[in-house]
Amino acid sequence: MNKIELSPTDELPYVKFDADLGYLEISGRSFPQDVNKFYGPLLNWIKEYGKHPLNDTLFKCNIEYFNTSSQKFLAEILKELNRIHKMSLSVKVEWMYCSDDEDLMTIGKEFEKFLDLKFDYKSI
Amino acid sequence: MLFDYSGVIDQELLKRVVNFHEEIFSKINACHSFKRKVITSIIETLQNVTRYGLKNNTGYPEGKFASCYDENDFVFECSNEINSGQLNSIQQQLTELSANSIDALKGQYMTRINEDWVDPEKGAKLGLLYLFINSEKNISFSFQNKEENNYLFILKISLKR
Repeated sequence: MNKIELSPTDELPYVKFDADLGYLEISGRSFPQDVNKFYGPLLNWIKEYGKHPLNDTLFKCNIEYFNTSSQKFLAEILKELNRIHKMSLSVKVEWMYCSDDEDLMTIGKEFEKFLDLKFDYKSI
Repeated sequence: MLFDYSGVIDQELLKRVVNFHEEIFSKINACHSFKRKVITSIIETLQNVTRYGLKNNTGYPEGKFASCYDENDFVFECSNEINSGQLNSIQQQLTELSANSIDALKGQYMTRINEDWVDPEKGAKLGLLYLFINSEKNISFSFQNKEENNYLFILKISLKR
């Protein structure tokens, strides 16, 4: 599978998806006007990865700001990872948040309620 | 007054507004929680205009955006033109959102976040709901009749530090 590595911009996050390492990272701000155009290929990549996942997958989520459309796609990404987890494989989600922004941790906990995955919350 | 703008509202303006306010909040050492709340509220408000605002003859919506800040509150006001067809729909949404408690709105939000579809043109359609939650319902709105059955939709949002 192709690796994806995208540099961050004023409106888009840094993205690194590496199937060889089982490593996925989304970091920074995310408020694209056309969210399907940005997240559609990323979601397809995860669906493809989910066909032959590694035993251990790590998703590092370090979002600074996101619009509601990005949050919907993040929910889709997490659902795909949840499917991998249900195949009795290890999937870790590292949910990063600023130490003075516990609301962001709460958002992670709200996502977690809809999943079987357990999040590891890391204050930065 | 921090920011006062009138003209085309598009993604480029949004990026400028976000960067401007981010710099201001860095200078005053605002906590990340407050900064994120303000910036994401600005993003949802301006993207609502870019998606739903009435377009001018060059294909872009126009409007006004102004923000101000004191020790306790960050307040911003955004206005843009809508047509009479949109008026009823927006009024209905705002009335329904106003009638709900914050907890009920949060529940609705997470349920809808987990639904499957995002419209390529209109986004997640969660902007107003998100703004009500973020501001803890400190939102006021009005509609002014304009020419040709159009209306000026004015949204004012206050966020507590």
